[in-house]
Amino acid sequence: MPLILCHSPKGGVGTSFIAAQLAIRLAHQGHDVAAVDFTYQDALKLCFGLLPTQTLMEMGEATNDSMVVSGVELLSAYNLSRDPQFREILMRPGQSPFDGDKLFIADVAAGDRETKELLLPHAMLHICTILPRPGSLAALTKVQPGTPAVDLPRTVFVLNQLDDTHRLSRHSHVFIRELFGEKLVGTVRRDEGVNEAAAMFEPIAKFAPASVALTDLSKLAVAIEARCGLVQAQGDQP
Amino acid sequence: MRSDAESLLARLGRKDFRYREFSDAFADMELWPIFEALLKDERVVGKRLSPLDTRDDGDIITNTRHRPTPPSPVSAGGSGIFDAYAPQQSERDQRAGRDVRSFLKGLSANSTERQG
Repeated sequence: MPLILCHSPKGGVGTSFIAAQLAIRLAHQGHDVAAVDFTYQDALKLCFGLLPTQTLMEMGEATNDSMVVSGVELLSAYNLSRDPQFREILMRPGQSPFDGDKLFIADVAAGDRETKELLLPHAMLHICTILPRPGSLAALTKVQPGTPAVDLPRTVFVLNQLDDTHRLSRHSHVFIRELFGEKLVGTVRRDEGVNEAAAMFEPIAKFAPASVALTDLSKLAVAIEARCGLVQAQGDQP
Repeated sequence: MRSDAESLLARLGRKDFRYREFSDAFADMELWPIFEALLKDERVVGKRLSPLDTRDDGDIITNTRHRPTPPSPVSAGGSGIFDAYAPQQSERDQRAGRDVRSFLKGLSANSTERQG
């Protein structure tokens, strides 16, 4: 099941950003990666330096064309996720459209719980991005209705926009680490260079090469790669 | 040295700084009400079992008369005669992190380790 599902119960926490950066780094590590935008907002492409006017290829469309940016194939699947046939395939036991060699990283909007629930059984990992802020922390009660957040077997957490100069941010980090232990797979420090790079439609590495976020994102990708067993899978290849 | 600090010093061309990273002491850690609310929320930490909930009647109510058994030899890893009364590992794990007191105890222990 090479699907990594990126979804948070709270919007605006950087889910698309984490999905994109993870896809770029895993592609850089040699994996065949596709980043799939399941959101109506269609903002994942901005994290790859594309313009709002540029349109992505639709997932599932029979075409020989593909859009590859930073080594990652970009696909849109918002319309597909509304297709009854696709939803039926996802609900069919024993079958998955994500079986194959390609690693899919899905970006699902916070409010689109329906798509998240459909994709979750097909995902080998669910990444829930959180911020060290009350609104995001309170949303931990809504990660997966029916199962406590600490007990979710395939869910890991990423603390984004961490700022050690702020008390609540610092304390939230300690709290979340203690609460989730190894399920907190990474932290990404807050850096305005990330926003500025996005506003310039440029990669962070080019616009802000000294950004602390770059180091954190690299560590996160390594942790996710290990968590998913992708390191071994890649090593097995000739 | 943190990469951002290193790069800033390199850009400033300064080599006469002493770099020191301060860890967040436990004393600085506050149990913000939002943290406490989450620790008490079953949707985050699961159901917190009270001693009454965890009581196993099977230990008390038996249909057969209890026969005394010879004392078992102390295991290689055992360190005392009261080991047998200690909760099992899984039980300890279940309790850990499920209430505010044990959570704070964990934080305190970790902080001591970091400072040590």
